[in-house]
Amino acid sequence: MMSDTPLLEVDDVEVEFGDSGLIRNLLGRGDDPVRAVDGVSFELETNDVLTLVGESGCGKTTLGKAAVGLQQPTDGTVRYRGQDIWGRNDSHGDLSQREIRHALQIIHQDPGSSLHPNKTVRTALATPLKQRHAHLDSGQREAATYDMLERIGLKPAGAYADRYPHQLSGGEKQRVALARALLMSPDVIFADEAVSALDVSLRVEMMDLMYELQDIVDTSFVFISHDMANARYFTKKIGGRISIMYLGEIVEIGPADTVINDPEHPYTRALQWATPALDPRKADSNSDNLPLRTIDIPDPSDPPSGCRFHTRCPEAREVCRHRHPPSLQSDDRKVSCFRSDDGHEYWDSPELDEVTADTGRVSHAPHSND
Amino acid sequence: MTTTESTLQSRRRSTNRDPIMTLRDVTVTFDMPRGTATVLDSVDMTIERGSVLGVVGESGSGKSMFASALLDAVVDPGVLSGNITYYPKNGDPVDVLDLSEERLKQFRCEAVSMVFQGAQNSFNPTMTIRDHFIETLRAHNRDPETGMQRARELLSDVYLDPERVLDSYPHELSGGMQQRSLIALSLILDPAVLVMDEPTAALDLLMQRAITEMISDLQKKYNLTVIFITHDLPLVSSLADRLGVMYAFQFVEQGPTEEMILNAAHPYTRALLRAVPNLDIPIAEMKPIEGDSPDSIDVPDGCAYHPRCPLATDECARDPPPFSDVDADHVVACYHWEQAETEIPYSLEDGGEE
Repeated sequence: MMSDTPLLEVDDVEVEFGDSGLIRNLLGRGDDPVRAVDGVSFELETNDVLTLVGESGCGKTTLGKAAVGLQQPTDGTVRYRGQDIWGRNDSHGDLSQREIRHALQIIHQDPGSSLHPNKTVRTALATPLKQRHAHLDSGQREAATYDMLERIGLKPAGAYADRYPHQLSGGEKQRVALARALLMSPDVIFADEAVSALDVSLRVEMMDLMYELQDIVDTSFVFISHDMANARYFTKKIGGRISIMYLGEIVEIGPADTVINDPEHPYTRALQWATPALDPRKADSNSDNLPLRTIDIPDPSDPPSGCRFHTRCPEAREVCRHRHPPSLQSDDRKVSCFRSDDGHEYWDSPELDEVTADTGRVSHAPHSND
Repeated sequence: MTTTESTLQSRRRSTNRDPIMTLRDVTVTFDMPRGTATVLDSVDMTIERGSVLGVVGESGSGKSMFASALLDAVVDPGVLSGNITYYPKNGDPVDVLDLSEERLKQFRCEAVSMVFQGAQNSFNPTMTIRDHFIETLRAHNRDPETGMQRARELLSDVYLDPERVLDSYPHELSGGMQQRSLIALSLILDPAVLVMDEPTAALDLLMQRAITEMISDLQKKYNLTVIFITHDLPLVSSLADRLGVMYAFQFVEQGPTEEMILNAAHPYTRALLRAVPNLDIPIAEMKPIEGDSPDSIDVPDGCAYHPRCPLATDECARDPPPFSDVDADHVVACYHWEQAETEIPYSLEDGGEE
């Protein structure tokens, strides 16, 4: 039974933020609740990666936090090795809350604020060792710390161990944050834009390091990136999947090459368009045509009816305004778009051009309305 | 000797051109307790009128200092030396470092304007966007009526609804809308040159791309000269006519964009092209650059890149390399650039099959 159970199972998870507080509600000024994540499911295996890509406000961070137990879903379940991680104490399962917490770790975008400014690298790394490997004596702990520092490329380890965060560069801080998470021997690390704050030339190095260390500790990643190039690199290296999020939903999910080189959802295509091509000959061929009706994102507290993307979608038709597209399996990917269903009534539905009425070219794009 | 040589070259190249700004031997130093930090080192550069120059470098390579130098806006106690000349369309050349306080203020908005990253820090949170435009117009003795007409047009140029945005306070606008408003504001006095330091940092991918498209449109519409500074090489490659790559406070290579990307000559440029995640280079060929960038107080002798360079010889450790011509318009500061292609290979061929 265990062998069929995925390492991590996110099942129809919904996270709603909404309570504006008693006073605002009494005054009738309560904000509409925002459904940051709306009915999302995915599974993660051992040594796997799922990369979440989307614009700010699409719910990717909330979903990642829900997956590692840092955000309680308002509906749906998250199961770690088959056990509901928010299950009450009386629920069946062999794992304690403490074990689950240790198994699921996070690395933040800004390593500067996740490391304690008054603690040396040695102290920062000793904490997880004491928690996870309580049997080690101080000598063994030091050996383990030095070993980890060498593995993450901070050599000589002895010199780095006594440094404070302000004595480290941005890349070095992020490596210490990664080491600290890894010393918990986690099964899943949620890396929230963990390479975005680094200089472009350091990103490959950091992603390579995460990949190499995965081999040693058997960790899976939920990796967030707003950048398709980073997403492709890391996902392809590990052989995982990329999922594209839009206003709380996954609109396309599949292997890196499928999703990035041959996107099916119009939103994925827009993200691909937005990724700058290094090769100037390619850049010329796909410039100008903004594959969106508007640049600005709709208010997440009042998402559009039907397909949430219809207000920006250059392919939107009348039916998209009323009907919500289901997630359709097509080869090795899933796409939530009527266009992936050859027999759908979408194809007979009239084109939608009066929503924000325009051709979708940048040069004629309508004014933003968010 | 290096300087004279490259000055001669730039002069030769610029004879049949129309430069709008030239920099000669421009250096910025800071005296620090640990020693003197040289944060811009004898930079020579010719900027052509109506072109887009992309300046690419990692954090701490001196690219923001280059931007500050263009406006003689180096913060105290930095010392800026060398020669910066601005050539107005009509009128005599202007020696920028020789301007009085008053003239310099005028120069910074009316001739050369600057957009920084993080628009929220450039706006006064207690003033509406309209107030910002009016304040700028008044400070430069412009007629508010005609000025605001131009403001509305500029806001429309960046796909904003002028009436809505003018009455908004900065916090009422999204990050992308703030940054677009700031670009409109920077053009209100009709400058000839727009200097942009990471203008799309911290914005979403779609907004980044939309803004680079807008900059390209604005550049054509108003015949602007744009200097776009970024660490993100792919971002400028579709926008810039020419690229300059900075390493350790100097330009190490300059040339037409396509030439620079398809045929990079400097070992550092080539290493950078392989290290930057993008959709064009096969992932097996992406490799980090070994080693670290130098500290401004302790830049290696000779070629500053030699400790990290696979082609380095004794000569590189001894004397800084002068600029060599790769092509008529493409220069590189490297002794061994002819071997770089075989020693540091990269290809743009597959990976992003379309």
